[in-house]
Amino acid sequence: MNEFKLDNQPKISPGFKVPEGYFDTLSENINARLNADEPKVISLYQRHKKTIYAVAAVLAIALSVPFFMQQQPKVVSDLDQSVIEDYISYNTKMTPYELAEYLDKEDIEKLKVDFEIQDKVLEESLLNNIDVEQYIVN
Amino acid sequence: MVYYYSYYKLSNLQDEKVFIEELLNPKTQNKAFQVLLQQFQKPLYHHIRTIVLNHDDADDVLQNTFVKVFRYLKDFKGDSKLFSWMFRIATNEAITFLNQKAKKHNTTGVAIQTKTIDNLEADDYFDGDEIQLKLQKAIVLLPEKQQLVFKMKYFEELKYEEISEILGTSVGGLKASYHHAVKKIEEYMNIH
Repeated sequence: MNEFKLDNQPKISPGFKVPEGYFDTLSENINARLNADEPKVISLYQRHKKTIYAVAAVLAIALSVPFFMQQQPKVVSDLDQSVIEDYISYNTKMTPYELAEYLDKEDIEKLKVDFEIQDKVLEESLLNNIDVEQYIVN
Repeated sequence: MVYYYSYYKLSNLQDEKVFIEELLNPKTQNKAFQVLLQQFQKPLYHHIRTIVLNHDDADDVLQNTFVKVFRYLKDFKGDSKLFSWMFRIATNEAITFLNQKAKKHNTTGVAIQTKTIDNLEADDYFDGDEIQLKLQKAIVLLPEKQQLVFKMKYFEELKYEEISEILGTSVGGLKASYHHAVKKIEEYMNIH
């Protein structure tokens, strides 16, 4: 048997075969994979859509809490002063004395009413109402 | 069945610079990529097939290679030729594939290849005769680098300069590797 020399041999091919039509469909398969890869970028949002909406809803509520909290006192201050007075006077069992305790000097000053009673009128009314005598004595 | 091995002339892309610009321009990219696919699918397939040996694995690796090529196009600097850049990606993909397959089966890349060669006779997509099978058995015994160089030089008929660009090894080193590979193969063929 002659010594084997690669160069003396006819070219030896690897002997592999390719399935028929393989190269006809290959580019289709590769393009399909590339196209399938692309929308994944969008689907990431699609997949987390619910989570994103849920987080947004929670954030919206959380952020609006302080806003509503701030509004609450405003509603109270907008109430008419007389309504509050009426409420207090009709719905509490405070005695006038207890109420008076909450008044400071300034409040009392405001309560003062100047009647401008003339001396003559006063004299007459006193004379006509004898009952008052005891007060004078006292 | 189609018998392959009509060798592709790698200098076919006449004006590579213009073609690369088309590949990088989003407007022309898709059309240019289809041209790239048509031009390179066969040579890249044969390159990968000689490394991973069976068709299904070659198909897997080839598809991964093109997906990677498309994804990393924007990073292609044009320092090397388009073909050597793509062959480099294909080579890395094929070797990584073999290593992963070996890891999965808890064995080595050589053992995987030896097993595949042993099964070649039963492979529907191998119709080599006795001498072709013997040559495959001889190659699988070579170190990885020598296998690569031998396959690229002998089977794929690439020039040393082209192999040098793909593997990043000097032409002198490649010639030495090829010489060693041929010697060992001839020894094996003479004994068996």
